[in-house]
Amino acid sequence: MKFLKLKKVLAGTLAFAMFAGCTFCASAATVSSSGSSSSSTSITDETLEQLNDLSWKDYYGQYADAERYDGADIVINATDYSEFKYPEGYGESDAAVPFEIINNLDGKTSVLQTPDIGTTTWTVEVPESGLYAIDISYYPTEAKSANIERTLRINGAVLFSEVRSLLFTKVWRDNYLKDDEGNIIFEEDDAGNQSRPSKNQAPEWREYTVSDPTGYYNGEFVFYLEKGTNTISLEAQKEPLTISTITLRAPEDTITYEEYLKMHEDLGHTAAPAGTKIYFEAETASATSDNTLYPANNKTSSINSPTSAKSTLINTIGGSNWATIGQWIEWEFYVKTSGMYTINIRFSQNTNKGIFVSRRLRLDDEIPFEEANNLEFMYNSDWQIAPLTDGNYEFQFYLEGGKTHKLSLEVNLGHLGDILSRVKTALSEINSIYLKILQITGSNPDSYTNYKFYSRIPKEIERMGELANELFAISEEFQEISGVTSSNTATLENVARILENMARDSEGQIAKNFESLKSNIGTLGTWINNMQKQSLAFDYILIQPAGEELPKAEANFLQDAWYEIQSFFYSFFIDYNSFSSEVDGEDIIQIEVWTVVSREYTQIMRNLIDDDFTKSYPNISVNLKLVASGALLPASLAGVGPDVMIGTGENTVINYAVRGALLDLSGYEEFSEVCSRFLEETLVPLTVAVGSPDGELATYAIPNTMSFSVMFYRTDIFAELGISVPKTWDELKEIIPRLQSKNYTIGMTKTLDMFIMQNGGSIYKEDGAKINYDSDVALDSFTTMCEFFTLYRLPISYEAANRFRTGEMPIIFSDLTSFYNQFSAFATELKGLWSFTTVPGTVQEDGSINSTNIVTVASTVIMKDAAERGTDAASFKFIEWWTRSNIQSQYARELIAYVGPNTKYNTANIEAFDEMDWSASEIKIINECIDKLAGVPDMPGAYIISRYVNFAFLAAYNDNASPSDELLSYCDLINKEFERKREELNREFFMPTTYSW
Amino acid sequence: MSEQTTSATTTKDKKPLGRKPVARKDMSKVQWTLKEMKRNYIAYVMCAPYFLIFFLFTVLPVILSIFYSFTIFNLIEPMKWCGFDNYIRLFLDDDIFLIAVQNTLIFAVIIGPVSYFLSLFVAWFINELSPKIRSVVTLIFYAPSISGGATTIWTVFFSGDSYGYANSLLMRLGIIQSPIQFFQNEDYVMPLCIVIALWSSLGTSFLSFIGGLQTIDKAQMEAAAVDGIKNRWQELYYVTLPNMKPQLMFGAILAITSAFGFGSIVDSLCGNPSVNYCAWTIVHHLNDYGGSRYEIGYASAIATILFAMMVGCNMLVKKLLAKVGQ
Repeated sequence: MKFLKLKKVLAGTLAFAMFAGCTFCASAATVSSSGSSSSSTSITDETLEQLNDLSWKDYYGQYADAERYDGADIVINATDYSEFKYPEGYGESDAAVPFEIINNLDGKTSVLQTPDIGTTTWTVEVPESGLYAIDISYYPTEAKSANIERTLRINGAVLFSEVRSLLFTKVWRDNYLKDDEGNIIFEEDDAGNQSRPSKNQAPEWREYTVSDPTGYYNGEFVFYLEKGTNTISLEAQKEPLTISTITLRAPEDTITYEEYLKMHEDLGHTAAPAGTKIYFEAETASATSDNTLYPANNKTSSINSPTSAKSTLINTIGGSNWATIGQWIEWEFYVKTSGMYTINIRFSQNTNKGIFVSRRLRLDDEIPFEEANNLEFMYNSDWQIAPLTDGNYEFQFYLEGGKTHKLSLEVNLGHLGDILSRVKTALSEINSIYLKILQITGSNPDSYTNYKFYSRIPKEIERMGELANELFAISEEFQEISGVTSSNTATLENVARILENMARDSEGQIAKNFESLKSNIGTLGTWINNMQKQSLAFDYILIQPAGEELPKAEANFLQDAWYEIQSFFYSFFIDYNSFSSEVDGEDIIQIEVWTVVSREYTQIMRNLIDDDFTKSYPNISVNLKLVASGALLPASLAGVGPDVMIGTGENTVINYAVRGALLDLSGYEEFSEVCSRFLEETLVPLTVAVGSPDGELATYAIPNTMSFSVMFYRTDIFAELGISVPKTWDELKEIIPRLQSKNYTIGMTKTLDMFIMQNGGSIYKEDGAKINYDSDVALDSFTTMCEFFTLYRLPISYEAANRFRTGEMPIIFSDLTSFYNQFSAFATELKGLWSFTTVPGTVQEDGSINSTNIVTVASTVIMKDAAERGTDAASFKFIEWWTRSNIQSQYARELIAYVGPNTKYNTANIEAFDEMDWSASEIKIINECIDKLAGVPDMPGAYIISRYVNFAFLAAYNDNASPSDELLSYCDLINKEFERKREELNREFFMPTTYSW
Repeated sequence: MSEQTTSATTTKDKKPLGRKPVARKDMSKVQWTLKEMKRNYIAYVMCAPYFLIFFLFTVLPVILSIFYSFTIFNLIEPMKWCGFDNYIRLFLDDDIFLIAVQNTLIFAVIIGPVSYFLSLFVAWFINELSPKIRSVVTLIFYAPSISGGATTIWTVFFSGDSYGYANSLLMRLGIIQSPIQFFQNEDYVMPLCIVIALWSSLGTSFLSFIGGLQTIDKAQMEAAAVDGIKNRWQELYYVTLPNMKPQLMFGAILAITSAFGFGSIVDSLCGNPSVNYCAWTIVHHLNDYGGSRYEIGYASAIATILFAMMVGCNMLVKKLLAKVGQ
């Protein structure tokens, strides 16, 4: 409780700091437009609120003794809502679906559809004060592929942090093929390789009990409501949700396994007759929560069912895809005879060494007993077969005969939940202590300086000692649960030891151990992430009476040896690298497509081609090949190049085009339609005017992916320091000293072209024949850019994700998708505490802000050889297909399965880019960013520009040379290279005076 | 080239056979060679596989490269003849090439001989150790050169991040205030590259020296001692080194080619190009024109110059080695 008080004090201080900050902003805001400060304060409010959230444990601790409601259910019809409103600055046009009452939906009448943004509020009369559980009957309206997220507020407040992102899962079903007897079969190609079926969202009405989305706590949440009028509101975070009823009911006590057995004994239920066996393959799941939970091929054991050394058979489900809290898989099976059964599963858990992974079991949508929340699957490098267990009991379940039953297993943390939640709380505290120390010492403390920690952070020092003890205690508990000492506990103990030392001898140890504390915080964060990954693969499920013999879990030596020998010999005959599905026949045009992405990505492309392209264009056969990035030039030289190359950089396009190796695509049918799928600016680097600036326009490539940087920032640190998000470079410069005084710094960008364009300058002059870096605008821009590093001493090299995570760099400029993907997977503990926005702009003479940003593309080209072979038209048809919105969307979705649940793919197709499961607020920012993108034309010889700009920059940085002098001195060299290229090459490329596609 | 040497050796090894002797002066040189070839055809058949591969992948590219150096060729379009233009431009109108030549010579002069003698002396010292310890120590010295990307650990040590080891240490000691960009600063790039190159240079030649040292007959040492060798240096110069001339030659050729072909270490440490071309070598220049500028003709001219430099250096070393022990 003492700690709670401390938190309140902290909150007060923060609030004051924020107030002070806002007044400061207000005075600074006279320069910028007035709208900006109001939107940034709302971010601050929200973040502050979030920083002060209670945890469920604290909340429940307050009300543990409160009366539990035990009256009848209070049912609220969703259509009786009292209020609905969009967040500030958003409206109906931003929503994916309208807010409306639907009269009849899948058997239920009069239900409420809520969009992916906005807050819906219901008013309810509560008959008596007490603890209530909440059930919501929902229908996962078909939209993007992400799960639905909502924030639950009661009387306007988020009662504890866990209800900030309640998770409503969707329902996905495979479109299985069935044989005559109704058994599920998989599609096979000529070589006997099976492919998995497609998957669809199959929305249906489901019951959701408000419970922990983070998996730390088993069981339902209860809320204390005072007698009288209360409001319940759901604030949309992601995806639309249709609701029929919200029910307040008495908290339920689940029975224990002992009671469950006793109950069935009393009912006279005995073991099923000996020899009864219900066997089914796990890959024939009836429904899953994610589209990434699909049947897959697994060759890690020679007795997987079914197995083949030669061909690819679908034989398992799950694995690393089935690892995130909340994901579930559901199977249906028919039971003939009633009785008590054990459920045995052949599974593979070879990722979490020395520990188990957990699942929550539901039989016919009910959790049968308390222990079913904590199923454990122990680690083993081999496949295993065992009855479902929680570590103590091998469970028996009563299954009624003559009925089809539903078995569902959901990823949770089981027995580890409590431990992990405590580690996580400790980690976030250690992190904030780390930042406190950082503010005193800077990133490189001197162990001989007297920092007087004991008088500056006495509370934190005391707390460090407590945290050390807490971590030691957790480590001991962890050993008890897992039964072995492992590297897992070592991670905890390392941090504990450092904290212990720091608390014992603050002056001697804090500065000395500061860096190892930092690296250990990172290790601990990664450790939590890894422990939360509950990866588990299933082969088959066997339901039989207890005590009967189980099949062997692993093959014997001879079986394994034979399997490996077979595989070895087949490897000579089967080409695992070619992704072709060649169709022979007359009138079939063969095109060869090369790509440089990874094997998995290529496989996804192959599947898309097989599923979709061959249907659209049955007479074009695509031979897809994965090549090394340098392979194109030698291959084209030897005349064995591809028809289509995917993933070519801007420079390469112009380099090849100017030498006549690429086809001009603008003449093809559907060209303008294809171009309309992209941002015009992404076509700029791929388009030139031939012969003269007014000459014919030639577009040599179609964009495939686009990259642009944005400004990532830590909302918690901004809130703490009371600063608003900078909209201009001047504002950024203003906050740099404030950040630096607290030993924070910024991960700055070095994009010169962006500064030039924001100042209204241009990159080239004389229609692209010369560089325009010798103009005043360019020189000034370069000086401005250099000053960030020379004057403000912002670092040049740094490890972005780590620095952003520890908070040392609360602002980082980085590529949107790659940093987003990396960081959201890497620092899950910071969810909701960081955001991104457009790069700051430059204030123009008229007072407006120009925040132009540079976009770069990787593109798809058609080689000249295709025209000679007569396959160019077919090649363009392929490009047209590949850049379609639905194909790109599908590709992006499939990637999630391989890379992770938050993956975003940087497709250049604008519609597909928006379609990805960004949250509504993210989409708004992204659209703002995209509006301001500008492409830089590419000219022959342009590859030399970045080299010399870098030289100029380093001279300014290392030797304090004048930036403009340096840049000016390199302009001649750049122009010389341009000239040389123009002399050498026959084709004359110019910057077009006007673009049109 | 190899054809000539083969015929030369066969001529030398001529043995009396039970046929009517043919006098050399009776026929022209060509006729004589053909006759000899016919007689020793088995030898030719046996060396044919190697010769074919050697010719296709080593000799032919050299010839082609010399040929291309007189053209303008970008790999995609047909080539154009341009005479000596490439060479003229290379020597008269390419400042960066001159930097590259200068750097290459600096690297070659420092790294070549130093690493050569370093290899030799380290091998000589190690040879004195007992066999078991010797193999362990050999591994320790040899390891950096077999683990290809081992030099990259220095990028961590000298990282420009304030958390890089060197920067962190210097900042903690209060010597510097903000991190130094070691591999992005002209003042540091060359010295660092040289030191790191030396560190990783105890390669194949070092191994061959150790092998060479072990083949020497102990009896010779004893004989030399009887003959009045005064100290270990004399023993090294008059007995040991003459005995390992083949290994010395081998090591020297390796040292020269690697010193002239120096560049990959710079790339992995400083990126390509190094700041303001301060560690730019001929190989970099070659790759730059051949790889990123698509000027194969010009790159070939650079390669030809580099080839000539290497051949010249080789001849010089051959002459020097002939004098060892005399």
